[in-house]
Amino acid sequence: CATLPPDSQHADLTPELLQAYEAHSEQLGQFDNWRASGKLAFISPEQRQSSRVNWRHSAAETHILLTNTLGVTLLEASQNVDGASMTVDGEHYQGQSLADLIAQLSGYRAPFDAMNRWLTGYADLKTINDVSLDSNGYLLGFSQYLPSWGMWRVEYNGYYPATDEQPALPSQITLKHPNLTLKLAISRWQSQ
Amino acid sequence: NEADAQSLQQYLASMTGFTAKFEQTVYDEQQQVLQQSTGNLAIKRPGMLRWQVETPDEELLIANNDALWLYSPFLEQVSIYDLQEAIGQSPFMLLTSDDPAIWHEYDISQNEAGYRIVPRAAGTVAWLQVNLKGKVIDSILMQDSTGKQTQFVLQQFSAQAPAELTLFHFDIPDGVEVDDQRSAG
Repeated sequence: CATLPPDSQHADLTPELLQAYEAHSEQLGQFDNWRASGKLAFISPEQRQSSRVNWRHSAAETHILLTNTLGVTLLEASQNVDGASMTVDGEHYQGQSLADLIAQLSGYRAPFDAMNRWLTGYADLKTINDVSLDSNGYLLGFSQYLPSWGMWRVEYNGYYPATDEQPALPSQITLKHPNLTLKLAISRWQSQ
Repeated sequence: NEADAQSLQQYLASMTGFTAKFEQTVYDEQQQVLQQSTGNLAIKRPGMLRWQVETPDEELLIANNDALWLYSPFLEQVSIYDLQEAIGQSPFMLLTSDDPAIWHEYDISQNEAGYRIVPRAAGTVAWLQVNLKGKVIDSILMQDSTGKQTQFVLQQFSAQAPAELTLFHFDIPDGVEVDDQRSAG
């Protein structure tokens, strides 16, 4: 589906825009049982890696599958209320959280819990700053400080239009942290 | 079943190569569709492969006699691998090879649909099934070690290598990171 071209100038936060933002956030708040497939890139000063990603999220569980171009599984990890588990090259790992396991293994420290919301284009205005919205009231960018994760800059460059099953959802997301950038291109959103 | 291996190799050797459009679908263990992509492939035997993913986003894999190039515009990077790495990158690499040592690493058996190829050493790929309709490869199914399956449906199969050799040469676009993973460097 075609993505909405991002409104290039950052609309200043007029009351109408804030209202549009609130309406969109409201819809996103209920959109918590979804599956996204696309590509995920980890870019750090030392190396750049990318893989295909299938990200499944529900209130009870988050499940992330990384595969290569061929569809061969590189990493499969899931987190639920009891903790997190991960399988890489046939080895199984258990841990407190997905973020800890992935950091332990790949060295990449990324706030996966927060990403569950960021991915959908949701952030609570009260907890973020340097906010910009596009002309539809969708988030274009914001910064958020996360305890133990530091300051992250999140930017969206495109949204898929809303459908009757789904609100407008991001097509490309960039997460920036001083020494790590994550790039996500979502080719398909599905509500479960 | 040496005979089955020879039969597959004879079929492959009967062509200078082949080109086709592909539709790739990745299924999870419950046969749910995880991903779909489309593109085109070109093979010139021995040893040359071009694998162009067009949707949902672009990626290009080129193998020629000296290396394997994997270009990702999304990452703005091209990774370069030694050829031995290549086989792991694509089952189609095996189909381009006429090196008995490489073929010996696979156990091949013929069945009604085509050929089942099983790596002798355990690795990320559990098995490959090449399905033939007469002289045409109409699909390839691959299962990885976690039980997920990837199906490549081939269309517009043409049993000859493309004429232009430039298809198998990669020019590094400027501004693209080069990630050279080759051992000899």
